[in-house]
Parts: sequence; C-alpha cells; structure tokens
Amino acid sequence: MKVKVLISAILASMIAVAGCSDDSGTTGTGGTAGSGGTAGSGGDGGMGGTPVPKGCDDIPDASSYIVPNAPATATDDCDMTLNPTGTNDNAQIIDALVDNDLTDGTLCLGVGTWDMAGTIGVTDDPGLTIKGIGASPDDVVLDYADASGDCRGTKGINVGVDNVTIENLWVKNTCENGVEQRDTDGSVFRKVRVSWDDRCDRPAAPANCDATCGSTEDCADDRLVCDTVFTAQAEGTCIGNMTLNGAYGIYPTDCQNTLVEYSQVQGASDAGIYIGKCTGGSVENNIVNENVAGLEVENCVGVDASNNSAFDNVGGLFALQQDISGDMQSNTDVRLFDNETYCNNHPNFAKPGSAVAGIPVGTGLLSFAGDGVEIFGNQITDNQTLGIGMASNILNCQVAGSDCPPYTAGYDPFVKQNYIHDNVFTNNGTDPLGDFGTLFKILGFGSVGRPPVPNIVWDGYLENPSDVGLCLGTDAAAAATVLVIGDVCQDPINPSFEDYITCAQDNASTDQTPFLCVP
Amino acid sequence: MKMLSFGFLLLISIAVGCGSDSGSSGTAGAGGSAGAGGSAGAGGEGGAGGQGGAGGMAGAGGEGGAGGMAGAGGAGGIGGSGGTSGPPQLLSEWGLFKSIPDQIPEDGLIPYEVTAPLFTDDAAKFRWVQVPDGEQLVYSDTERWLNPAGTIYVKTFAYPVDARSPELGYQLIETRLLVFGEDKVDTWTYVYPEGDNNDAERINFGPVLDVSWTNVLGETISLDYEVPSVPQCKECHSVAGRSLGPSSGMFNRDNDYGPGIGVLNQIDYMNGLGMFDAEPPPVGERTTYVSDPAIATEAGLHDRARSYFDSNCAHCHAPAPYGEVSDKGLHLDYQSMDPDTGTSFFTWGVCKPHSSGGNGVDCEQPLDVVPGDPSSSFLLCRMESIAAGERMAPVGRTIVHAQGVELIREWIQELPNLFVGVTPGCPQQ
Repeated sequence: MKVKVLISAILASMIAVAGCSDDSGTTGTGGTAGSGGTAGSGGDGGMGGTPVPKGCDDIPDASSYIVPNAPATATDDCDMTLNPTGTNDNAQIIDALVDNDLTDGTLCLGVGTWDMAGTIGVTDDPGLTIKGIGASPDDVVLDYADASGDCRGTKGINVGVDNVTIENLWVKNTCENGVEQRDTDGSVFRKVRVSWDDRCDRPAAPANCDATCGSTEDCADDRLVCDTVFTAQAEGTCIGNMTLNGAYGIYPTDCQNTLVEYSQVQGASDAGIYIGKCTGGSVENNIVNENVAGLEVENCVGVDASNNSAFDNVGGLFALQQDISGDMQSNTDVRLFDNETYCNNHPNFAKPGSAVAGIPVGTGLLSFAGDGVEIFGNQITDNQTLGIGMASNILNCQVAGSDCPPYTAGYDPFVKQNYIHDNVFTNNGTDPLGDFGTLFKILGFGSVGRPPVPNIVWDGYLENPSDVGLCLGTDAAAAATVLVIGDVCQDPINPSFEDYITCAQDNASTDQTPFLCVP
Repeated sequence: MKMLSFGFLLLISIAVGCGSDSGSSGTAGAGGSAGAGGSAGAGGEGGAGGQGGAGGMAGAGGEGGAGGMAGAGGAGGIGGSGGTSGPPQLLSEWGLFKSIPDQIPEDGLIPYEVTAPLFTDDAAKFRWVQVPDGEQLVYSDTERWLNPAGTIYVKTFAYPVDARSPELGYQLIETRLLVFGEDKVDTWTYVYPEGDNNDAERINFGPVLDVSWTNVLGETISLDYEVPSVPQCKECHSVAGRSLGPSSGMFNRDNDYGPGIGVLNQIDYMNGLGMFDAEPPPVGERTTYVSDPAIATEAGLHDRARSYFDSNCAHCHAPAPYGEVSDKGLHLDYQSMDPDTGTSFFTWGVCKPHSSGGNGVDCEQPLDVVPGDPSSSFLLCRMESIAAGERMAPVGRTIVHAQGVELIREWIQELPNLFVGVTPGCPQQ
C-alpha cells in the first residue's frame, strides 16, 4: 500500500511538472473539473454529451485487468484441461501440445499461478486455442519468474502456426517478449494480459543512478534504472529497473490478419503491443500503459489500430516505417482511429542503444516515415511534449548529428500522404522535453507564458517538392494546428542539431493552409 | 538408389529396422499403438517417416534386421486411438543403435561430422543420418539439402568423463532425433539418466542438468546444461524438408569410417552409397565451410568468420524461408555473406541498427557491427553475454565460446581491411 501511495505521489509530481493541472482550464468547459486536479473523473458526467477526454487526472489503477467491455470467455468447450501444480508447469503444457494432436482444438488452463520455467511453443497445431478458464485474465497467471524473481526461458508463448488463439490469461515476467507470433496467418490474442513485476531489488542500476534510488522505499515508483538517456527529465525521479523487462508484450510479426483485442500490457521496455511486417489485421480495444512505446504499428499494410487506450507510456501510439532489410515492406494503409492517448509522460526506461531510447518523453502519437497513414477520431490529451509528431527518418539522423545511413533499396524515409483529421487535442505540448522540447521552446512554444506546442509537429521534409506529406481535411476551422519546420532544413549530408535549430527558427511555420486537403 | 554396392545392400537390409516405412508386421502393430499419434491425418503423414514409421521400427527391433519390409505397417496402426502420439518413449525402441552405451549405430545409420560445428557448451557430438530405402537426398552445392520423408538425423551430446583419459569414455547427455515427414519435421529428444548410458528417455520439455567433466587441462568444468524443449527445436528446425547443417559446405570433409573403409570424403562416401539424387561436383569444387573456424588456417579470416556465423547464427539469421528471424534483416548464412555476390554489408550487420535487441543487462550498443570497433558492436556483445534473453545463440549455449568470440572480434576489427567499401566506424556514430 505504501507503494501505491508513493506511486500517487510520483504521478502527482509528474503531473505538476507536466503542467497538466495548470492548463486544464484551457479545455474550455472542462474548467471546473480541471481545476480540481484531485479526483479526475469528477468532471466527466455533465458535459452536455461531449465526454471530456481522459487526462493525467484520470489514469486508472491498472494493477488488475481493467479492459472495459471485454467479452466473456467460454469455459465449457475445452478439449483438454490442465491445472497448475506450482512446479514446472510449462512441462505439462508442452507435453500436452507435443503428445496430442490439438489441431483446431482447445487447450484450457485452469485457475491459479503456473510455474513457467520456459517458453511455450505452438508449433504443430494450427487452429489451436489456448485459454484460461478463469473469470478474467488475472485468474490464470503464467509466471516466468523463478523463486528469486528472475525470468526464465526466452519468450512466454511463441506461436508458429496459423489460426491460433491465445485468450484470457496473464503472462508475467518473461525474459523476452510476452507473447509472440511469427510468420503465420490468422492469430488472435484476446484478453491477454502481459506485465512485469516491480523489481526494485534487481541489480545493475547504472553507476550514475540517482543516489536516492537506494532502497525499496526510495524506489517509489518501482521504476528503476536511472535514466541515462533523458537525464534531465529523470532527475530526481527514481525509476525502477523496468529497463530489464522484456522488450515487447504482444508481438505479432510477419503475419497476416492478426487480431489483438481486449488485451492489457504494462511495463514493456520497448512496445506494449507491436504489430510489424503484417498485412491485414487489427489491434483494438486494448490498454497499454507504462511501456516505453504503448502501441506500435510498424511496416504493415492495411492494419487498423482503434479504440485503444494508451496512457502513462513514454509515448502512446506509433505508426512507423523502419529501414529493415530483408522482408521489408512499407507502412501503408495503416489507420489509427478512435483511440485515446493521454498523459504519456513516463520517464524513458528503454535500454540505452535501443531504437525506442530516443522517443521523446511526452509523445501522444508519432507517425514516422510512413505512407498513407490515416489518423482520426483520437482523443489526445496531456502529453507534455507534443500531441502528434510526424517525422522522417532523415530527421532522426540529423538530430543525432550524424550522416544519414545509406538506406536499403526500396526504403522511403519520408512521411507521405498522411491524413490527420477529426482528432481532439487537449492540453498537449505544455512543457516539452528533450531535444525537441528545447527546439519547441526556442520557437516560442511550451514555456511558461507561451502557447503550447501546436497539435501536429512535422519536420516538413519531402522527397520531391510536389509530394503531399500531410493533409488536415478541408475545413480550416476543424483542422488541427500545425508546426512545420520546413523542407529547406533537410540536410542529410552534413547535419548538426545546432544548424537545424537555426534553420527552424528561420523557416518554421504554423500556417495550416497548405495542408487543407484530402489525400 | 541407382548404384548400390554390395555393402550398401547390406546396409539397407539392416537399415530396415530403422527405416521409415518398414517394420515387421507383427511388431509394427505394437509400434502402431505406441504411435497412436494424435490425429489420424497427421499420423498418416507420419507414416512416411514420422512417428508412425518410427513406431513400426520400434517393433521391428533393429537388430532383428529381419524386419521384413512389411512397409506401411507402422503407419497403418496410427489410425486408431488418438490420444498419445507415436514416438517411442525410449531411444532403444527406435532400433538405431547396436549399442547405445558405446554409441555404435546400426549399419544403415551413416556417421558424419561437420566442418563448422555449432557451439553447444563444449559438448562432444556424435552424428548420423539415415535415408530410407528407395529415397535420396536432393543434392545442392549451395543450398541446404532436401531430405525425403523418412530421413532421420541423429545427434548425441556427450561430455568426456576426463578428457585426459579417453578410455574413461563419455557421459551421454541427450540424443536428439530429427525425423522428416512428408511436409513437416519432427524433433524428438531423449535424455540419459545421470550416470547411466544404457538408454535414454523421451522428454518434451528439457530439464536443466548439472553437468561436470574434466577437460584436457585437468580442470573440472561445471555448467547448467539446458536441454531444449521440442518446440524450441522447431523454432529453427521448421522448414519442411531441410535440416540446418546438412549441406555441401558442412559435409565436404573427410571422416574415418573405420576398418575396411578407412578415411574418405563424406560426400564421396555417401554418393557411393547412392544417397544423392545427383552427382556432386568433384571434391575441390564443392562449397566447403572452413573447418574449425576458431583456428587460424590458410583460409581467410572472412571465410572462417562466415563459416562460424553459418553454423552458430544462420539457423535463425538467414533469409526466408530458412531464417526464423529473417524479418530482422541480419543475414549471417554463408551464402548471404559471400562478398562476391553483391550481398550488402548492411545485412551482415555492418552499421545496422538492431531492431529490438533482446533483454538483459550487458549490451547497449545501438549498431550490430561497427567496422574496426568490436567493443561498439552489439553482435559481439551478445555473443559474450550469458544472460537469458540477451545471449546469442539463445538455445544450446549457457557459457561463452571464447574462441568464437575471438574470431568474430578479429573479423570486426579487420573488416575495413578486408573489404573495399567498408571504412572504420559508422555514419550514425
């Protein structure tokens, strides 16, 4: 309980820093509720039909499974049922899978905590359903930690055949990804909870860890390793060693038609839910919180992410096109809609050197180098650095002060044909952090007494001057505000961030009119 | 089987016991029930060489040899009861060995060694292959060979009791079987009881074993030996028809076949047995990985490194369909690392940001390989890590392969000197 209190304290301090409470008056009608800064949910009811977007005051207690409206899981259609013994339970699951043909069958896992010493691989039974038969995912716990809390095995569940469903269970403390699916069609992850226990006792805090982060009590938020990447914003905050958590919670890759729904992922040191190199499929009605990246759609074609709730991550929602050789495909026809992404201001606990270590703390949504991404109907609230960012891969290396690498043939580093409309932005960019925060402040946004960062920030880089990077729709009154740095600042050859800032000062624009279009 | 020598006929007749679709009819019945293998359908396939055949074989009891080719008997049995699957519970039931304690194979089981072995915690490995009667391996000089249904690869992992005293023999740890069906691969693992080499029992989920032995220096080495689970085997042994090692590059070396045969090139020997569908090129023209990549030979550094990468990394890090993580774009198979075929240095990891980077405490480098800068190279760091979730390779290794690390360290250090177009450092740095 003490921990809970401390968490609240930390959150409160974060909120104060984020300025969420201070600025809530700007939410218009929300004024009354906002000023409270106390019990968040108060204001929701009476707003005359328009719900107030959730913000930092509304972060729910996610220490249990809280996904709303999750469908019930049938418990009477099991072809085989196993129950946990508390010792080496993964062996009985693997025995069941290897010694039986469960093609199109249902393997049910009974209520309790399963002692998992290694990975469950689904390699032989297409159409298999593995599901917990408790009342919620919380009741069937696959715990990969040993008695001393150290993880065992690699992944939690690894799906390698088609049409597999994983449902209604809780995967905890895996060394690597919680649930993975690779090179298959038609998998469903429904009501899968993935998390990592707080491990303030874990070793290997970096030498430069804040000295106050010595004891469990000091480790208030149970977020460990002092942040070596974003020292500035982590200063004074003891973040527990979440850096050692597995990289991804739910990780379908090289897939077709995957469905991830009603799942809840907390604490992933990369992305809570990732869907990558997939064609078709959707990610909907999930909760992702306290991950580095809440939800990522990467190098996919025709994938939707909708009705998800992302909060208290370093960054909330992502549509990415990365330069990966091999089976690379572009990120096209990806839609992010009707999601809420709020208060994603968590200190960055990514492993230094990883791709997500550079995510600016306080990012609501980021569209990175993708083509044809449509972002609409989202509620984007209380993300302290910015609401929506759009960036080319070229900006990435430019900010790092390095030459852009030669990209793999076929890789397009530019944002193109992004259509961002009908989103609700509330109180974002009020206290931007990191290098971009510095830039925004230099440009006159996000400091005390200055306006917040505009709704959408884009580097403005184009491959060809005639390319369309961004459309906001044609209704100027409804369109988001923008800050576009300018194509002229694109310099992949001999970059430096200082030069970039200078260029941005001379060229950045908040003029919407060039973007009042529909792609 | 085009040209059968007398010797090979003998082999075949005895091999029947281990063959896929053979087995004496009577005993095959027993095998069948053992092999009551999950689905009738799957069992049916298995009959070609998977569980069903195996069951039959068990009945046939290798030695009997008599095991007349009752053929599909084993498969027939499968249809029945559903429930438990076919593979025998004991290694001895496969009839693969004349003597399990001495690891003496039945005559149809052809021993082989590989040029560039996978490092698995310094275990000694004994390897055999058996191709069913009437079938042949599809030879390729560059691709992994295609294995007909019924082909079985057998590999025993062992440690010397005392490497200074070979007469003390080995402590056998596990024997793994890779059994090819029509469109799938089965992987079965048999673990020997501690201190007992007489027989091994099938397990699906591998235990962690306390293993210790005395090395040539007289040092006692102890480690937690992790037996892979069946699904773990299949993470990489997942491509129908192909195994990981069997290829020209891995097989093109000599082996001592014992009295009466002597030392022969393995591919020549197997070709003489009629095991290939096509005539391999002459010895000197075959793709050959470098033997013992840890030792500087006249072979170039890059050839040693790519041989090592192929055996230790390419079972996952290879292009589709071979590599389980082909999507990550790090392709370390021998062919992808051919500097003459235009493959990009990037896919070797040169200046390549890694896409996820595992989980652990040791490695924070953002780039896989930084030419001339081993300590900045994430790939090398993961080879040096033993942390679960971070170490590479993740399965079969719990200790560091010092010689392999040194080889790859040298390769990274020397990359700028090996190839025009590779300069020290990376632009992202």
